[in-house]
Amino acid sequence: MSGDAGIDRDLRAMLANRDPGPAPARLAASVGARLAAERGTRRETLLERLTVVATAVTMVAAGLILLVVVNRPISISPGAAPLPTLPYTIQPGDGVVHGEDVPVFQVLFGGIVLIGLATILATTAARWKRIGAALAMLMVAFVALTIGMSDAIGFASGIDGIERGRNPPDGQAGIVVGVVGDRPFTMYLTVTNTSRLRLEVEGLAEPPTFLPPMVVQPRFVGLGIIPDVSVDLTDAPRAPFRPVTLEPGASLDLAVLGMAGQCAISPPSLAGVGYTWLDHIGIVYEQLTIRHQASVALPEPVKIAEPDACP
Amino acid sequence: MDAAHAAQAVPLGRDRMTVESIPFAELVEGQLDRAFRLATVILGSAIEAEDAVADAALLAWRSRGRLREVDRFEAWFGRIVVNVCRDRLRSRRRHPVAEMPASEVGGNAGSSGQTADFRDSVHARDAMSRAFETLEADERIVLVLRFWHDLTVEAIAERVGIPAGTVKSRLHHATNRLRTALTVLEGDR
Repeated sequence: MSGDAGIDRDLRAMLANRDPGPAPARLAASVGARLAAERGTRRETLLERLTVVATAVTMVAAGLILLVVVNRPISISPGAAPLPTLPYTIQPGDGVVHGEDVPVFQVLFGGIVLIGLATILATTAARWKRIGAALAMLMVAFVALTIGMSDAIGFASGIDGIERGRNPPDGQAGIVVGVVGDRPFTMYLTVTNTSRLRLEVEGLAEPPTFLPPMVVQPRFVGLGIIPDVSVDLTDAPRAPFRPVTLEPGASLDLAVLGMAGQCAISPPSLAGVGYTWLDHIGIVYEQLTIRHQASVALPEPVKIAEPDACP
Repeated sequence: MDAAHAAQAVPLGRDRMTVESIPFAELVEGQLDRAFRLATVILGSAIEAEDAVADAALLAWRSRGRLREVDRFEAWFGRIVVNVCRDRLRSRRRHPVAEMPASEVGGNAGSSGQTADFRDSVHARDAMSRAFETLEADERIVLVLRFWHDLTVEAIAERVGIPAGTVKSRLHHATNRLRTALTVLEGDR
């Protein structure tokens, strides 16, 4: 058995010995019955039709998604087209997105696509179709996960700062707002599309409303665009905010109107002063037709000095 | 074996005949013996082979739309049978079942009046069978198609759906692994 010829001979003998001879009669009967049952049931027909419908729906859905993704508005990020500028002053409420957008249609659409793909995966015998359906399901899952990212917008690089700001005492981080009472200040901020899909910046998340008995807190209340940051920011022209499409990695320079809150003070010396601060800003964006709100972390917290006895 | 294979050939003398022109059950029925024998040799179990052939017939029925010419039915159905057997072997790895010794499958082994040569040949077959069971599903399949079905490397490549070079490589590795397994088994005796 040690030589190749011996192995060949023994292997052939063993395999020949496994040969059972003709199939038992019951096999033909059982196969015939199964084929007849398969042919006769409506299930097969329904599954075939379902597969065809699922394939058609999936193809249409994929085409629509492609159309939506590809034919989104052309980028109008700074520099792409001149925006109307002076004279313009950001007012509270400018660029603020009101209300919530529940993506019922998109969720239903995605669900139908997933069901269609799962049907193809479960019913088709063709390996390439199953692989394709599995990859498509992964792609849908990837898209869903990607558009679900709350950090699709962030500060990567660019400008940040406060007009009417003050430097904090040595050893403290952040920028201090230099206004007294619930008065406006302006913050500059560059936001970047940090996701791998195109998105559209729709505006500022609606600021919280304060009931009369409550102390009005610092908040961001309006949004504008800075078309040209090459000049001194204090004098830089601003433009009314309008939705801007950002390609992955593209940035947008914003001017954000803030209100300092009822307790804001601006003493000559900031030593020993207490603060409240804003370290995030809510930006609403739309990605693949679904609206999201990103909580953009500010590079430096915006601090508002307050007295200890603030009510 | 070849004569047996030829005797089971489907009456496919009609050139370029479409699948629709012959009842599907008739096509399958003409291949049952061959499929059953192939599946039994690969799986080592006649009972499991019956299930595998029935599954293959059902799969063939569901994907019959992709078979354009009756002339290709034998190879096409054989490929499905091989694929079903491969899946079953892989599943068996996850859910191991008791294997029948080779001497019990074919029914050629007598129980009385055995000579020493006969017993030696049975032991050799049993050792080979146990060594064969240690192989991967793909390795078993190429060995069966080569040494039992007597297919050429090219025909195996077409039947299994892999390049001829891969068939050669798989045959080489399978034979080596078989030799190693036999050496180990002989050492255990």
